[in-house]
Amino acid sequence: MNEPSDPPQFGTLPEDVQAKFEAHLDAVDAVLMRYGQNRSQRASITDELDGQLRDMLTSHCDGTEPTVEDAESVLAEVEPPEAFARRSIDLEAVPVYSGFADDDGPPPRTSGWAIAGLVCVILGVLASVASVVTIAGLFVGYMSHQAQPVAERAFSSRVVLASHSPPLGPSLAQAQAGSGVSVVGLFLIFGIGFLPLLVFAVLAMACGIVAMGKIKAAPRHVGGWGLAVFDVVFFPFWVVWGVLTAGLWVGVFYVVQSIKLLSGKMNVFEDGWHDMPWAELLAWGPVATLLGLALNVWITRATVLGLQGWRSGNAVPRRPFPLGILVWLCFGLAVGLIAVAFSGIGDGDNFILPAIGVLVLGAFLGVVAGRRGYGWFAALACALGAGVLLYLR
Amino acid sequence: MAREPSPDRPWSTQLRKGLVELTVLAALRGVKEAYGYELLQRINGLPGFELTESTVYPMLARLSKDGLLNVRVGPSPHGPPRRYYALTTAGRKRLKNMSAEWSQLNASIQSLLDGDAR
Repeated sequence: MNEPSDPPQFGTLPEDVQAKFEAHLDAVDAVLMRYGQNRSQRASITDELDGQLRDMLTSHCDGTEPTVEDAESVLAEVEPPEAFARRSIDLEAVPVYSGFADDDGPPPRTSGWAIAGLVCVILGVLASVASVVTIAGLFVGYMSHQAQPVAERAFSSRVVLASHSPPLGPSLAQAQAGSGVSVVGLFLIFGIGFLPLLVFAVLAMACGIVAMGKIKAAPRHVGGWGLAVFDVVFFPFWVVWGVLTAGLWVGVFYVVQSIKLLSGKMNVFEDGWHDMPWAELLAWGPVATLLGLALNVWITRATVLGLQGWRSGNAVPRRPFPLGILVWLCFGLAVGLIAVAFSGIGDGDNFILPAIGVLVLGAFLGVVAGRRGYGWFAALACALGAGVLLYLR
Repeated sequence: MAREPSPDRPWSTQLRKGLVELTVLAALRGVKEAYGYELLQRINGLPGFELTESTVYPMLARLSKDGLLNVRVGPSPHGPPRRYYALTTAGRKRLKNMSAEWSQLNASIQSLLDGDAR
């Protein structure tokens, strides 16, 4: 504490006064960060404001020790933190004489590289669809020609074109291979689907990376950052989605079987794994796909936000984690697992569809309600629904 | 994002806003250096100017980033070190160009106004 005769030392303000000022400066900093200003620019602005507040406080106190009331009086004279959201655009303002109607200047043009990447993404998706159609056609053809000799049935080229049509004669595979096993089907798979998919995926990522570099170099003239990021992450995250889905699919299925074993609903030695509940395995597919998609969307979102932070020179901004949705997903998954485990599928009483229905309904409610902060209510509704279904059974 | 001028923000506000860069650079001409609040007070001491900290400080940050201002950190009697701004060579050149452009524009508008007056 300073003696009354001493001049106030504003470098070491009283703690409560310092706290008032720091709260204001933090609020300004948060506004500037929200509007994409990097660390050095924010520091420059808040340092100036800090100096101004202290100068104003010095004038206001006129030699006496500053109090919280003095600090509040000073803060009342300056602009609120929100004002920096409006003005901070001036940081990137360009020409002074840009016209009054649109004083931010013309919007940057979307990067041609980013657009080219988008075209590659679309072509890659089409190629993957072609792959699926090809594989499905080959599979159908394989199944429908099982009774025929190997050379007729396996990977025959014509079954892709008309899987339900009768054989029109000696297949191309037979004619070319002659040994009884055709490779034309494999050629088709890689030729029609996988190879273009690979090429377009690489091109899309390359275009996206180039676009990001161009935008980073000239942000005022070249735009389309979001599109460029999308080009880069689309195919990698598609693969991630596949891995997540496969892991969840197989993992959840075997966890359910383990719970059934532990709960006595199934005896591994009597029922045996040869009584694999295929319907259950297939039914988990959509659930695992949705859960994998949810995780993938979250990972993608975090990645895009991180890259946005990198672009603006800020540290990755701290964003509130979507706890409502995650809580529901975990809770709904647990309820669904219990419902399925105790449903007695091994007894022939198929209860899995209602259980999955509860899971999907809960997911929907969780996504809708969780965004409004009512994720727990959605979880409770999910649990209640599962309980009612179990009771009715 | 385009911001529409509202009835309570007349064209004079937009006019001043368009002149902020020129104003800040001009306020630094003729002085060795100045810190932010000092500049703000100097500008607002002129009739017709009501610039705020949320306009001037971001502008100072941008001009420094663009290499038009040199920043020196020096001690302050009232707290943490201050940033003292001074025009760089590029800043002087920019000010000269803007000043010429402003003079020409001002003269043109004045001639129009004089013509109307006649």
